[in-house]
Amino acid sequence: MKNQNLPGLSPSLKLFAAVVCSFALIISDSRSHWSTEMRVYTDTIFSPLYLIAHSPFKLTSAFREQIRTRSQLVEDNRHLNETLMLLKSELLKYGQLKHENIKLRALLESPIQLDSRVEVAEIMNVATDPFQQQIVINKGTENGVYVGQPIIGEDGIVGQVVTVSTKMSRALLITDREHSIPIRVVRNDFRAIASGTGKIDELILSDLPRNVDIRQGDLLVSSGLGGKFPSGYPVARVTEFNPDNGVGFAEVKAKPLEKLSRLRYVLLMWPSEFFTPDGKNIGLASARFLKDGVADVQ
Amino acid sequence: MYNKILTYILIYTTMFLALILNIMAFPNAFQFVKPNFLLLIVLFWIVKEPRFVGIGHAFVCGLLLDVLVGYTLGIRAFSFSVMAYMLCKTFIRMTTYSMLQQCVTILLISGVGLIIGFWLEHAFGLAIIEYNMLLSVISDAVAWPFLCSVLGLIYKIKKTPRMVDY
Repeated sequence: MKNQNLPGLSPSLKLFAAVVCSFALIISDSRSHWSTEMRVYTDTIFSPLYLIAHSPFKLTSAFREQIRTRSQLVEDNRHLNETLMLLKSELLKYGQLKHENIKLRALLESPIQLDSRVEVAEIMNVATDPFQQQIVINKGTENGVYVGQPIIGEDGIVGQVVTVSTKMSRALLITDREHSIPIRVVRNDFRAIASGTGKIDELILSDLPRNVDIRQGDLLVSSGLGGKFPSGYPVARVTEFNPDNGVGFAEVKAKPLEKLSRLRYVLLMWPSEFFTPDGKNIGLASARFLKDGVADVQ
Repeated sequence: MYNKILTYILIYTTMFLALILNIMAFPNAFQFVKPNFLLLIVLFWIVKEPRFVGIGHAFVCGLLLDVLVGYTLGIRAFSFSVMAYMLCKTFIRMTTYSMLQQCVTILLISGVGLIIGFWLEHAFGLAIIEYNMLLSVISDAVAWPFLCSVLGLIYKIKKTPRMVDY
């Protein structure tokens, strides 16, 4: 069947041109990093589109807030006040412990980490399919967001920023196929690397020997060894430990603590650097290798 | 001339709306059953207005999706072009088919697109097989009749003034 009535080039020729162009794009994108720099500009140009796509959700949530009754608000207020009081009393204890910890660390001549700054960001777009797990948040270079910045939620680590534009940035979730995070097991301080699988609720700990001491239910926290994530933040809980699956390594699966599929707000974090007891700044990761190249795990 | 401009306005408005729908965050449960609106719109216009929309438009739409969703650049552009080519070359008389046959055709085209996308992701990056992905192909086919009826209605309204002019 020929389409003599169609104007311009023949479809086959057009397809050939399209194939050549897209292969050139794919290869240059996967081999070099010019596209990451270009994404800064395209994201800035297209950010109104994300705003439009996000507006129905903003409207509905604003509407839902408007139609809340007075009694509901009073109830909410009471509940929030109670939570605040409980958290404040916890904080009293925490403040004292922190003070004590700094003192003890100074006595041991270990590095000290001061408080980190956090800022709330709203999620504008989520792309979660097996190929990629990304979120778009409404903070950009204007707010001081930088590439590689850790993002946490209320239950644990969410991911890290990969590209930044002026008003928004894109972040990779910890469950993305191309993301890995250094972790340690809380129970025995065993260190490993947790990689994403492309599934929203699964991480794997690869290349571990079969006799490794990991059990189902173990809590995994960030070890801070990569120098990107602050140490000690919860990441995941081990759901499956299978030591004999026919290959040389144990199969360990974990489930992220943060419910990555229903995120609405996240916290951007500016981790503080480590200081020696006499006040010298020694950066983020270097502090961990102070004594004889052995990692200093808290 | 007037009609040409009107057609272009209609085509680009629907494409824009589809693009917005594509990048809109849906609840996670619907993530896999969400049809690819932009693809369906492009395919619809290729069938309805082959003089205006063709492989070039499909390529640009795919590239836009690559940029906006953050895939490796060029993968969607490639699969969109191939799908448009299939439609241009083989199924251009699709409007004469029954609706069921049209749905099967869309299923076939969308499935080929999925396989091409997966294959490229696998060749140039990391990808795993998630069988839920097949659901999106089925939802494309299911969404086709609805899209046809809605867009067909708009298309008819647009066409009427020209008939009156004569």
